[in-house]
Amino acid sequence: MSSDDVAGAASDTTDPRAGLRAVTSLRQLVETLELRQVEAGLRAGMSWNDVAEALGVTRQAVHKKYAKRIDPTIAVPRRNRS
Amino acid sequence: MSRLTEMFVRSQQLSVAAKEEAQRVGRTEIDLDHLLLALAVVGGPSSDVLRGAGLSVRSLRDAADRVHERRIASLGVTAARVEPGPIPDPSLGDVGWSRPADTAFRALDGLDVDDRAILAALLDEPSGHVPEVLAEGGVEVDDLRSRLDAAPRPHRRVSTDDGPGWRSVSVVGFVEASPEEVWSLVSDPARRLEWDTTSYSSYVVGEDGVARARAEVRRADGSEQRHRTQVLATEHREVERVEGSTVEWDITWPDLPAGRLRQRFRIELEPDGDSTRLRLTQRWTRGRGLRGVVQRALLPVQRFLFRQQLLAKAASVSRALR
Repeated sequence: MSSDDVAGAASDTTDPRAGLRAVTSLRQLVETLELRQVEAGLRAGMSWNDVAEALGVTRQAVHKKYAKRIDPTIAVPRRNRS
Repeated sequence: MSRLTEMFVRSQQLSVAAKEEAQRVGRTEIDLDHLLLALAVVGGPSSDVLRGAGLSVRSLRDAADRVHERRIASLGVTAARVEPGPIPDPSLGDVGWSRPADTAFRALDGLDVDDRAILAALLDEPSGHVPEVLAEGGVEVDDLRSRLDAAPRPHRRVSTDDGPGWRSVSVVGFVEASPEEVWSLVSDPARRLEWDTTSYSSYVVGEDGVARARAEVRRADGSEQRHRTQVLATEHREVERVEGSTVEWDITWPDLPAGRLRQRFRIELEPDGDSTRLRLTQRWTRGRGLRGVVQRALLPVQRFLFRQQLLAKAASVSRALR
């Protein structure tokens, strides 16, 4: 599928109800992928700060969102935790 | 079990199962899918209705996955399927509820122990998500509605028979696996640590047939739990065994004065269609003298704590096999 096709399908607004539901499913997928990538980053030794920079948000924001959600077996160095 | 307790137990089983189903697929929020799956997981009246229509936990998971994949594809986005991971320890992780899922969960109102109110709320939920998942699983929503209306009110009560000298509590759980599979898990000492949430660091059967266990002092999150050292070691002697259906252990603490503490833990399996009803019973001795007086005063607390432990064990067996 070319980028034109993607844009065409994504902007198909003839059935907004179906379109909105589809966007909801996509948003949930993005959230799931973000959590998996954050976990992978921390496992690979990135700090909360590194993760925040890559996501383009503040360290506080990323820590608040993920500190309690990530796999608890991931050892994040304590000085980078808060 | 009182009606209040029964309602409390059911709603707790549901919220744990919903959280587990959300975490299994890496979701950060409990949504309608996960509440629907939880109804199937806990084996209450809704699960009877769903299974009657041919829907299992597995088929509902597949149907929900396909619905999400099709929707995302309709936006012109090609995305890889997120493979489910293991279900983490339920005491860990912070998972909130989506607003629609929370609203549907609150349909379990007052003292009603019948979780069909939640299933009915999910069918009527305005986004129409659950009917879409059901249709994907090959079941029309009207068919399920009429099954819901036709199903008799459940009366699956758990009686507690203390017996002389003993106190006891029981819970009944549901496992979407055959009694043979459940039996091979719970009766095998080598697999004990896979499901027993008492969290032993070891559980080994000696040549004398007695299982010796040691309590784990580390919690799942790595922090250390404080224990009196005399209660760390336990001995488990089988006092009853009916191959494939029943096993009961007498539990003693070798480092405590003899007779101070004694418990029994019993597992009974009963087939329910292709699945299994699991009844867990915890018995403990009534104290004598001053100890007995204190114990009587604390009885409600004790019952509550033992019931929580049994619920955790039942949920853990279900998690290990689904």
